[in-house]
Amino acid sequence: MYHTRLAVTGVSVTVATLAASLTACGAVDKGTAASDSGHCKPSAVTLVQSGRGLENEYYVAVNAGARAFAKSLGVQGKYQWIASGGDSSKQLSQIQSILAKGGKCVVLNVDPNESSVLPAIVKAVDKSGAWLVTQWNRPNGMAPEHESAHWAAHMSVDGVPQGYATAKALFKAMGGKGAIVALQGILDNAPAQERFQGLKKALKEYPGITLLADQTAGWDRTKGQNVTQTYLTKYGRKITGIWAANDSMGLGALEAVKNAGRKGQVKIASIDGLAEAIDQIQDPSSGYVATTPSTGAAQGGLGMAIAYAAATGHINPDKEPQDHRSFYLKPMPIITRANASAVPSPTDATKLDFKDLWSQNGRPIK
Amino acid sequence: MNDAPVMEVRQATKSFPGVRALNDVSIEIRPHEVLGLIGENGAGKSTLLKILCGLQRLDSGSLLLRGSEVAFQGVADANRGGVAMVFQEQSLLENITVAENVLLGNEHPSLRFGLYRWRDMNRRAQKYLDLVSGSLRAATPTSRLSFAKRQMVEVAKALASGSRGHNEPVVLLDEPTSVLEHSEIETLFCVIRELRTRASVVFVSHRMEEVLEICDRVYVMRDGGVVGECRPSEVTTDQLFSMMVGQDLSAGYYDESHQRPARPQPRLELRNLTGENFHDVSFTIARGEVVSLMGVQDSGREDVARAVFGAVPTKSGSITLDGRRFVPRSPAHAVRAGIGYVPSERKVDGSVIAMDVCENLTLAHPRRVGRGPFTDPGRERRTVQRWIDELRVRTPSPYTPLRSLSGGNQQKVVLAKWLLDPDLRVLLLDTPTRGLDVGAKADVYALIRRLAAQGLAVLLLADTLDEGIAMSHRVLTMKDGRLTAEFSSDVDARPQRADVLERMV
Amino acid sequence: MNVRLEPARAHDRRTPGRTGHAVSRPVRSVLGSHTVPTPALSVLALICLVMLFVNPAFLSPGNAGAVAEQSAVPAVLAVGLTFVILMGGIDLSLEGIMAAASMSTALLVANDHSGMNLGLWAIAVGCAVGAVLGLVAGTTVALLRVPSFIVTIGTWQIGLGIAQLLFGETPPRVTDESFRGLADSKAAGLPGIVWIALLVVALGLVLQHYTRFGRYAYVIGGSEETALLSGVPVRRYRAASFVLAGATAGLAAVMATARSGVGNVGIATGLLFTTIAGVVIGGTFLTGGRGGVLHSLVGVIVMVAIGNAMVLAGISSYVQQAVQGVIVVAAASITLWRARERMRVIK
Repeated sequence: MYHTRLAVTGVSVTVATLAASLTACGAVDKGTAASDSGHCKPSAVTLVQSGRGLENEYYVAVNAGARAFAKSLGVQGKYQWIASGGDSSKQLSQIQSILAKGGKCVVLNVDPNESSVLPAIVKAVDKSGAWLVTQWNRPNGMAPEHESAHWAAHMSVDGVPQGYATAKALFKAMGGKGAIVALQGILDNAPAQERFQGLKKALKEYPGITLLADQTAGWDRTKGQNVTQTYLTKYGRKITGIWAANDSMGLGALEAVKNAGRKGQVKIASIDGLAEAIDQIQDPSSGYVATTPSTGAAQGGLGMAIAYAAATGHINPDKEPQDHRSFYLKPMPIITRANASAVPSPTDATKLDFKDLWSQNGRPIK
Repeated sequence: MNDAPVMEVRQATKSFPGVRALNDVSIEIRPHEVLGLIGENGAGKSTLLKILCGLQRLDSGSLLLRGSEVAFQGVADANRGGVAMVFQEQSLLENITVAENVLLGNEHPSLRFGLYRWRDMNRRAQKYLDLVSGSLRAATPTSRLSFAKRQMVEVAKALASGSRGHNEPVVLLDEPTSVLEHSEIETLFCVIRELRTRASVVFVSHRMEEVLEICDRVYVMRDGGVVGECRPSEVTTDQLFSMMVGQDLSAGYYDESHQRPARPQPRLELRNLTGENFHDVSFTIARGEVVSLMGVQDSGREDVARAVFGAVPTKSGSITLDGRRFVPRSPAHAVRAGIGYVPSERKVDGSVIAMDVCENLTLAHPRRVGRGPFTDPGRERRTVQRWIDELRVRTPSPYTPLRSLSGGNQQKVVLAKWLLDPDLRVLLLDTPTRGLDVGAKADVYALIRRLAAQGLAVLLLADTLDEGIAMSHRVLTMKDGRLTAEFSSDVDARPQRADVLERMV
Repeated sequence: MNVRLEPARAHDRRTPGRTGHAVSRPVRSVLGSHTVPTPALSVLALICLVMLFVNPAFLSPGNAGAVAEQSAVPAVLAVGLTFVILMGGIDLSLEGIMAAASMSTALLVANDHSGMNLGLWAIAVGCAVGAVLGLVAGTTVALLRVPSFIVTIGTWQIGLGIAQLLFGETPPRVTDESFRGLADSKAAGLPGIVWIALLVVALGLVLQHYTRFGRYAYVIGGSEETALLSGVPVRRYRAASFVLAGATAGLAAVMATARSGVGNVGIATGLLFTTIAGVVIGGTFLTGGRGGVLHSLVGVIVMVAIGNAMVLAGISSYVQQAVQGVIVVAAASITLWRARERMRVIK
């Protein structure tokens, strides 16, 4: 069970938010059209989830989480998934046209295609008085608490504990000694850096393990396979472990290991919780030892829930503490062979409590 | 011999927007004759040929092939009727073999199960190649052939295309000599004489000597109509010339009455300039002076001009421009320094061919036609129209794309562009009249005189000896990359051709 | 009478000798100036030479096999793309076509999503998916005269769209071992996909040298006008080139799917760059008419070898991208050196 449930009652949330909105009524505007909380009727709200595309398991989970939230309100018909296809300008224009149509009562949970598109999205949302929660990427120095009440919150997943815990599981499986290679994500990407930092932290604790080389494989399965193949010819049997910053690259590495005839001898750990990786972990002969649970459903469902709470006046973002505006999700225990068979599907959102908005908050993002 | 015409055009008329290209033209092509079509550029020769080869259709009138009226649906259709054309713009593809070019569109007899039988292809192509030249090999990549050889291949290709039917072909040659040198022209004439035994040939040229030498019968065209038909044995060059231009221009052909004495100030000075293909070249050109640099192939004269223009590196020596040292780093640099270059291959280098006449004239110097930062359309139109009239540029309007003009008119526009340039100091002319007809040449000569009179220093790489001698204030000769002699050349005291020639070879 | 002083173009005076027996003519034409990718081969040799000092493991049979395996997919792509580019077009759709073909193939062999099990017939379906998308692009380019650049961006999106429609919640995993065997099982030390790639290259060479399609590709790329004047059905051949490129992209997707074991929308991420850069480095001109299958093959191998060599040389990930860019530009410059013409750009 990774989504630890806090037994906070819905009533207490309501009381708290009611109090917040009352005080907000008397607050002085901060210059923008509406720094007070929203007044949208639940029936007037449009829920919009934006991400890359549903050809990606992670976004399937995000979509499932967001949809589950819509279902919990009984307004599935008002829920909309829009795919950017990895195109920032497309994402912006999609959002702009939805805002033009829906106005103040649009609730957006957005994974910006890249951090540089975020300011434009925030500006568009602020101007039309709609409500926004963002995921993963944001430009340095830009945070909801400094920008606008309409940018209710920004959440991300802390890569450091993910990298650290998966690396430790890998090293343990290797018996505490041996040599690994690491496959990194796209280097200028915060999660890629954090995850790799976690790996380095774990390496310090395991002096018997050496990191032979690290290399970016661009989050891509085929590239992961190619780079691993090259490493296997370069280092040969020296390699006894592979750490990959995501499951796609890890699974690519597994193919390369299989083709080199070393399946099972080289241990692999990675991050993200793809179904295929979890299956491999359950197969002891694969050598795949660990991954992390998917955060997609939580990011989709809770992100949407926070933005909705702001839109309907359940919370006033300006009155929320900083760790409710910019935060990491709470780290979840990793998946290993011991618990792999009991892992819920990444699209299973039943464990999410949409009444308790902050239940999954971890450390704040500074 | 049966003298019934192989092909006939009756009362043909053809118009293009703004131009009546052909007006009531009737000609006939008889078997086994070399028929000449002569006329200035723009006289309608090319249009007539395009109609004969199926590229264009008549507006009115009729086209008869072996007695029956035809309407070709394109070049390939004309080929099936036995009519094939050798285009003025070389139409061979460099990136395939000679055999493929010769048999283009006609490969199917050499295919088996969809696969080429190269040996059979080459054998069939070789048959036609051998008809025109003993030294062409079918399997050679075309890019390796000289232009002269490509011309021979073009003829072989026309023969092959025209031989698809069962009749003897009609081969149309559109100014085939324009890119050939003298000895190559002789070779081509041998091919044409050989061709006459198995085909009818239409030979188009604006060079009177060539037409008189090779043709059995000649139509003279002017302004879209046939103005005369004659047999070379019965006319003189002068008669033919006046028929072509419609007036007696020859007295002022080189515009020698407008040769002004050079001014004393030196404009361009070369001191011991040495490059890969020339050594120790020193000479001076004064303001207002035209200097001809003469030399045979590989004499290095072209490289000297290109070196001044920054297109060819130099090893040592110096260039001085109006008393100041000038080191040309690139053509663009030379242009900024006031050096203009006009090559004969004007399509590649000299002008923006897709733009219209007006834009080409005003492109580099918008100030001359504008007020402040704005273009003044009225002023632009008036300025441009004045130039068009003065230069006798034949264009339907100032807004006609340059590419629609004939070669001579294009060259006039390119030169006129320099006339408008207030900053130009030196003009390098690399065979500027090559490929032009007599009338256009005369206009270009007059233009060079005017440019010189404005104070420009002109270095002329003349196309012919006569041109070089008649156009210049001084003649320099080059041989094997070195200057060999200098002749002064006044209007009434021109150097002797034999003397000049002697120092060149 | 005029004395002419100079030939029209003094620099083009080479005359071929009359030597050469009839039998050797085709051979000679193959070895002719532009038919063998000598510059690209020199670049490859240069990479080998440098790696000899940096990390000799580059030249080990094991690593050579890895380079061959990683080149197989882009090589197949490049064969089809070469004909499009020879005719002066461009096909940018291959990533989309591969996505659609990868998804459909993975769903048609035995897999964990659909109940299908077409076995190796799925290969034909994969190629057909590509060919149909190629036909859409080809007919649009040929009949409606829309530039191929735009059209193939469109078919790219169509391909991606189809792939996304086919994607459920997780990527379909291939469980058909004989299909996986295309990539896994080895003959003479090389995996099946390398042999498939070699076969495709051989067929490409036959197409290029011995069929009208191949020969007319040069004619159309050399001068479309001349081709039309000679009665060549240009549109039909141009459309066919896109069908071929689509079919090879389909096959490439099949191979990539066999290699990675899942149907993947992102199967071709980055391959467009590798392939087009490879084709250009090989010496096939984007303007058409020059180059060929062999050129593209060598160019693609150069691209893959560069990536492989950098990993072996231990170059930091942070500078790799830039180094790769520099090498690509340098390699392209070397290859295109002789095509440069100094007098072409002046006014």
